[in-house]
Amino acid sequence: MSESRKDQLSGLVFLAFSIFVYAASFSIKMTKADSLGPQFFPQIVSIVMGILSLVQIFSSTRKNLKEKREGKQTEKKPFAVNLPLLLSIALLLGYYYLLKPVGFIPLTIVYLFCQMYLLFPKGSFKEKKLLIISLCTSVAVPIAVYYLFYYGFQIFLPAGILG
Amino acid sequence: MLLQGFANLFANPVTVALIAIGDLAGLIFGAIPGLSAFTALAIMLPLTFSMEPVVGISFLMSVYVGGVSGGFISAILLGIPGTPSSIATCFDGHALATKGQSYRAMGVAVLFSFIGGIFSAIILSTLAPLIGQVALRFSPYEYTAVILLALTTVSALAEGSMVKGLLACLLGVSLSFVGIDQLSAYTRYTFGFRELRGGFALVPLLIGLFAVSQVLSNAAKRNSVTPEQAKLSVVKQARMKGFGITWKEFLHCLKTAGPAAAIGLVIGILPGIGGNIANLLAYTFAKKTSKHPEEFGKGSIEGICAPETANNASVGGALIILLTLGIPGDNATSMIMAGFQIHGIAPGPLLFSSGNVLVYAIFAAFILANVIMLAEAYFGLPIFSKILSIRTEVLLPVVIAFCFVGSYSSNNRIFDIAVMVAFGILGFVMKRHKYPLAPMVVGFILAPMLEENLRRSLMRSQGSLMPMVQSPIAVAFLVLTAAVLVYTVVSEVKKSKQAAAAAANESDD
Repeated sequence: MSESRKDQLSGLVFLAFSIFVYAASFSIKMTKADSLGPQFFPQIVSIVMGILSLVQIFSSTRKNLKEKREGKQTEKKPFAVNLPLLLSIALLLGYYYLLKPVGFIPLTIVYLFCQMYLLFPKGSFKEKKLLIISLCTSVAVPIAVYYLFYYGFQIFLPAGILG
Repeated sequence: MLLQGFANLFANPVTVALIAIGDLAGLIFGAIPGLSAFTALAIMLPLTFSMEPVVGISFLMSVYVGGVSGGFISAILLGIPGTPSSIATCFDGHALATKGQSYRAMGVAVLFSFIGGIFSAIILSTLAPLIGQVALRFSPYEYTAVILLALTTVSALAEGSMVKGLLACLLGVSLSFVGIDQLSAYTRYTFGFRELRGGFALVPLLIGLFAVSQVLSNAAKRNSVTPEQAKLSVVKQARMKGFGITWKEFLHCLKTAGPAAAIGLVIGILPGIGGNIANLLAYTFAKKTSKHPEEFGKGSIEGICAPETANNASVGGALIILLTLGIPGDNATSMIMAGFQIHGIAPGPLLFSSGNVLVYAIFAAFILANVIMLAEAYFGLPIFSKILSIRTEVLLPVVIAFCFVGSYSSNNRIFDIAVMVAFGILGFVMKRHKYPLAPMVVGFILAPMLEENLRRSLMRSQGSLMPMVQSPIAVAFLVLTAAVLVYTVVSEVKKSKQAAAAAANESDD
């Protein structure tokens, strides 16, 4: 996607969001005590946001048309799935869902190792040294953190299956 | 008053020890490329939950000071800025290092980081109470105007186009609507979710936007790097004594450091721009005013002293505006703001009323943090270069693990981890589309204050905006707001015309 196309798209998203904020403001209960009420500010903000997103859409569309006219438009790239990115998001979401049942220590060990694998360039773990460093850190950090917070700060992290 | 602050500080040896630890942690995080003062603060924040407010905030201050200072280490040794606040330090610092004089370069950087920090600490402790006194007399009209100014400067001066900055800011403002309205006590925009009644918590929001989004963007780049490219090499360096410079050179540099410190302080006070701009601006200024501009970029010590003085001076400036008005200027100060909130303290003019001991303890801690930073950085120089060989691929996940802990334990609910992940994804998408994140955070933090003051002033005047125009202070802020907007629009139009002209020239060739 070209830069101006991206700007057009994000402008549209912001426009939709501002309409949403404006529409949802009507479901806020009104008070009699205060003449302006809790609807007032969100409505002003959403109107300004709507105007700005129109400016954004307008200017990026003009740029886009100009690029098209000048034939600068780059060829469309085939849409590629960014696997490390998607897997990282899945890891983070998984962490949220599993923290309570599994507990901090085992889940964080798994998270750390998987996340390191997803950050190191492909094939890095063929090098024994890196693999060992990653493994040791993944195991040591969660255990140290858990007990540091438990004894040092009286903050109790979810114990899960170990509790 | 300040002496009393010091007395309080030294009465508790734990605080002094914690400042030393905080400084060291900050220095290490600052030194590692990709991690910054903000990351250090994000990790250290949960550690302060069970501390006394004074102790916890002193600790966070020291992490901040260390974090801003630490950037020079990798800037000089690797030519990669450890934090955005040390970009200009690379130019001459790394040039000296390639000549084998990295020790000298780092000596200058340490020394002038300290001088910049102490300068801003002195201004902070003399000026902040005065500004606090003035701000105490602010009515809702003046407050509305000053917050408007802060929001506009943050949005307009952020990188990228102004419209994008303002949109990001308004997005942050909208996110603050979620939860209970402060004036009427009705819930808004919770859509029936019980967890959202208190609104989004600041800590998971900040951590998600800045730390989680970074892991995601690093992961997204993974397949475009080979294992060989990812390795960094450290050049061997000669060891020297002292700071590596003579008295004469020191006095000469002091002349450059003066204006640089002033630049840093002023830039720090302005919300939205901080250490990185101060660093670059001071470098440019020093180069323009130097008697030997031709040496710049080839290893001039003036070229290290100016940017390093400025970025540390900007810390004091940022703290002035945070402590007196409760306005955070960037992501690191937002994190300190979160620290205040967790300890139930609202930064703002009220801190300065009734001769509050807390303020002076904070000033004392800030000064002490700079002194300890000097000692630690001086003795730690040989060690720091070793730390740089730790891989970011290992560190970043560990940072996230601490972020999980921070998000979870700030309110003891797992829901906040979901908030953190959601804002991480949002932050990643916004960065991809070139929307700046700082305006969004500052918008989120300041929106409740803006709304409350705006509504209070309109209630007071029964819907008329006239009284705001009658207050000279408020008018001054409003005029400045308009000036920032006009200036940004004009310079953006100029820039796009230049770009168009350059493109036209290209097609002519």
